Amino acid sequence: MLSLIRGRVKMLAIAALVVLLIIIPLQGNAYYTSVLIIIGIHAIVTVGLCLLMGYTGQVSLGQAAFYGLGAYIAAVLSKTYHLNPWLAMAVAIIATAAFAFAIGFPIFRLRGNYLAMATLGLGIIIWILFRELDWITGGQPGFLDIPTLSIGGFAFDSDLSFYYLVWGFCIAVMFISQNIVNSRIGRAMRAIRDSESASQSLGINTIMVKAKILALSAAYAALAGSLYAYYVGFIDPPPFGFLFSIRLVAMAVVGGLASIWGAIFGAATVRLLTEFLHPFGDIDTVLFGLLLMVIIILSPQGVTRGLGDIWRRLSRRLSPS
Amino acid sequence: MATWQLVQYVVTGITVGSIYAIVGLGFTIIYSVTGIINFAQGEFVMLGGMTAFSLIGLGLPIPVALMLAVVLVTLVGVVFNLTAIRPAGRASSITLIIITIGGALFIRAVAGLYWGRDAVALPPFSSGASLSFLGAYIRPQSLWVIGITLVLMVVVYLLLNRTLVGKALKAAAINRRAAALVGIDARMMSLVSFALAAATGAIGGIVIAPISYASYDMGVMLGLKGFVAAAMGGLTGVWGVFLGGLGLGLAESLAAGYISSSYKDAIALIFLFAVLLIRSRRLVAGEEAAA
Amino acid sequence: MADILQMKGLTKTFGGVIAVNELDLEIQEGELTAIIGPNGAGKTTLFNLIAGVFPPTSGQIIFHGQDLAGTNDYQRARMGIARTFQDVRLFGNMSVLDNVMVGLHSRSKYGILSAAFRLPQGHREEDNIRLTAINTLNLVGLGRRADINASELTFGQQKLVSIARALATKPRIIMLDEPAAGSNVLETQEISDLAKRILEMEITVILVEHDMRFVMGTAERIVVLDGGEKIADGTPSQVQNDRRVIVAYLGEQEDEI
Repeated sequence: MLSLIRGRVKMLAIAALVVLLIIIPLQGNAYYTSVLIIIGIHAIVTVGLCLLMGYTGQVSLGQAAFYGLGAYIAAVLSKTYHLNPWLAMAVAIIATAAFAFAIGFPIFRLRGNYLAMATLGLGIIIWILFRELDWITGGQPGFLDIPTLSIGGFAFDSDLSFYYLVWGFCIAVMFISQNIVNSRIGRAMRAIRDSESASQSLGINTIMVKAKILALSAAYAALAGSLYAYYVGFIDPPPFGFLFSIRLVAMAVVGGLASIWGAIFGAATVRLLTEFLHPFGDIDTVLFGLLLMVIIILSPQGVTRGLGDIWRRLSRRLSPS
Repeated sequence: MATWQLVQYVVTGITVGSIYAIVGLGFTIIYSVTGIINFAQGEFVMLGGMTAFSLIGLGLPIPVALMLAVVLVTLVGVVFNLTAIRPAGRASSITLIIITIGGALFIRAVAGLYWGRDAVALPPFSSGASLSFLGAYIRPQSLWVIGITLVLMVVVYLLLNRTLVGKALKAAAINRRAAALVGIDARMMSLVSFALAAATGAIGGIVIAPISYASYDMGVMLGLKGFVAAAMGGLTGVWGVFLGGLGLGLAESLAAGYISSSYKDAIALIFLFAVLLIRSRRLVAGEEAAA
Repeated sequence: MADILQMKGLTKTFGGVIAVNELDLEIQEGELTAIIGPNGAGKTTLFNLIAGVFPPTSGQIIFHGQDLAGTNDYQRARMGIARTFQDVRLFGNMSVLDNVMVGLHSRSKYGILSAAFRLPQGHREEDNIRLTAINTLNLVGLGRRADINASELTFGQQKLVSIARALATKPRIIMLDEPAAGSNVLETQEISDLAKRILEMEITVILVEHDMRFVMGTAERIVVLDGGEKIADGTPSQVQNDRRVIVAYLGEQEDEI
C-alpha cells in the first residue's frame, strides 16, 4: 500500500517535471534555454553513469571518452562523409556501445581501485587520440561546421527546437533506464553490486552483465555527445577530457548514485553552479571537489535522498505519535 | 642510430623514471597501510613544486624554502586524512575513490586559483655546466633527481622495515583488529601513511620542478604514471616501485625519441593496461587462495 | 541409483599447500550426503571445486556423465549445480523476495530490450519469476518476510533465504555449506527438515556441517575428510564406529570439549 502511494507520488512528480520542462522555455530567455539544453545533455550521460556506478557498483572515471566518441563520430560522419546527421548519430551510438562492450571483457576482470585506474587511463588515451589524430578530428583547433539535425524540411537550428529535442531524448532515456532497473537485468545489476561471487553462483555471467551495462552507458554518452556536437556545431578536445569525467561523477553523486531521476537534479546542480560561479573564475571546480567529498561522506545516497531523509526525520518528529 | 642519442634518451628516461618512482612510492605507502588508492597523490607532487616556487619567491634561502615546502605539503596530507579519509570510516572502495578524487579536484582547483595557469620553474639545486657522457649531455639536476630518489627509497625502505613505526604500519595493514589489540591505532597509522606519502610526493615535485617545470595541472598525468610504477611493483614493495618507475621512464623516453613525442603519454597508458591485465590474473588467483 | 557426481583423483593445491588430495568420491542421485572433517580438512575447497569457483590442480569432476573441466561457476549453476556460502552472502541492499528472484535469473531470458521497452514477453516472464520466487520463499517458511530488506533478517533467516535463492536456480544438486552454523536448536531442526524436503523435490543434497547431532540426524551417508583425503565413507552408524574417524575427528573434538 505504502509503495503504491509512493509510486503515485513519484508519477505525479514526474508528470509535474515534464509539464515544467514543456513550459520553462516559453519564458523566452535564450540564455536559460541554452543552459537547460546543456543540462539535458549532461543528464543523459549521468543516467548511464548511475546505472554503472550506483546500480552495478562499477566505477568509471573515463565516461567523458564515450561522450567524446559520440560527438566526434557523429561530427566526422556527417560533415566529412556527408552522412545524414540522424544516421551519423545512430552509427555513433552503436559504434561507441560496441566499443564499450568489447573493452568491457578485459576491463571488468578488474575491480575497485584497479578498475577506476583502468577507466581513467582509457579516458585519457581516447582523449589523446582526439587531440593527435588531427587529420580526422581537427586536433587542438577543433572541428568546425558540423551540420544540424532536421526532419523533413524542419531543422533543429533554433535553441527552442533543440531544447525539446534534447529533453525528449532525456525523458525517453530516463524511462528506459527506470524500466531496466526494475527488470530482471536490474536485479542482476544490484546483485553484482552486493556480491559478485554469490551472483556467479546463481548462474549470472557477471562480466557479461557489466559489459552490457557499460555498453548501455556508453550508448547514452554517445547519444548525448552527438547531440552536443549538433547543437554547438563545433567540437574540440577539452570538453571530453578527464575533468569532465570527474564532473560527471559529481553529477551522479549529487543526484544519488542509485537514482535515475536524481541524475537530472545532479546535472542541473553542477551546471547551474558552474554558471553562477563563472564570473568568479574557476571556483566551481573547487566547489565540486568539496561537494564530492562532503556528499559521499555525509549522504552517500545523494542529495535528493539526503533531503528526503531529513524531511522524514523532521515529519516524524513533528507528527504526534 | 647514433649512440649519443640513445644515451641521451636513457639518461632522460632514468631521470623521469625516478620521479615516477617517487610518485609511485606515495601510492605504495598509503595502499600497503590502508588499502586505499589515493587519487590525490599527484596533487601532493604538484603542491611540492608550486609551494617551493612560492617560498623561494618570498626570498627564503633555497634549502630552507625546499624543506618548508615539504613540511607544508605533509601538513596538507595530514589535514586531508583527518577531514576526508577519517570521517568516511571503513567505507566501500567506490566511496573512498570518490573521496580521494574529490580531494584531488579540490587541491588542483585551489592551486589553479592561487598560482594561476602558468608553469613555473625552480632554479636547479646546483649550478654548473652539463656533463658530457658518450656525447650525451647530463644536467646536474638529473644527477640530483636520481640521487635523491635513491636516498628516498632507502630511507622509506628502512623506515618501513627496520623501525617500530614501520612495523606498526605493516601490522595495521595486515590485520586491523589484531593490530588494535596490541595497541596500534589503525586510524593513526592511516594518518602517518598519508603524511609520509605527502612528504614523498612533495620531494618528487621539488626535485623535478627545475627540469620539467611545475604547474597546477601536472598532478593527473604524474599521478597516473606514478600509479603505473607502483602497480608494476605490485603496490607493496619499495624496490618494485623503483624498477617500475625506471622501466616506465625509459620506455617513455625511448618512444618519445624514436617514435613521436605527442604519444609519449600514451606509452604510459599502454603500460597501465598491460600491468592491470597481468595483475588482474594475479588478483583472481589471490582471491582463489583466500577462498 | 546412478551417480550424479563423480570425482576422480581430484587434487587442489594452493601454493604448495594441499587442500584436497587425490580424492575419489561418487555422489548418488537423490541421496543426502554430509561431508564432515576437522577445520582445514578441505570441505569448502571441495565445494568450490565442484561449483567451479576455481579449477582443480589435477583430477576430474563428472556431473551426469559430463566432464566439468573448462566450465566456470555461473555455467555450472546453469547446468544445475547450486550452492550456499558459509558466510551467506545475501544481497544486503535488496528485498528478501528480490534475493530469491535473482536466483531465477538464469531460468528466465528476456533481455535488455524487452526490459527497456516493457515488451509483453518480459511482463509474462516477470510474473512467473515472482510467483516461483514466492513459492520458493514459502518453502523455507519466510513468505511473510518477502518485502523486507535482506540485511534486516536474523542470521538464521538469512541462511534460509540463501537456500531459497539457490533452490530458485532449479538445481539438480545443491551444496549447503554449514547450513546450521549459528542457528539455535529449533532452527537447526527446521533446516534438517528442509534438507529432507529438498530431497523429496528430487534434488540431491550435499552438506558440510560441524554440528554432529544435525549431521547424524539428517544425512543418509557421511563422508569424512581429513587433510584433504577421504578417511571414511558410510552410513552414520558406520562412520560413528570407524576407528580412524574417532581418532582423526571425533576424538579431537572430545579433547576440545
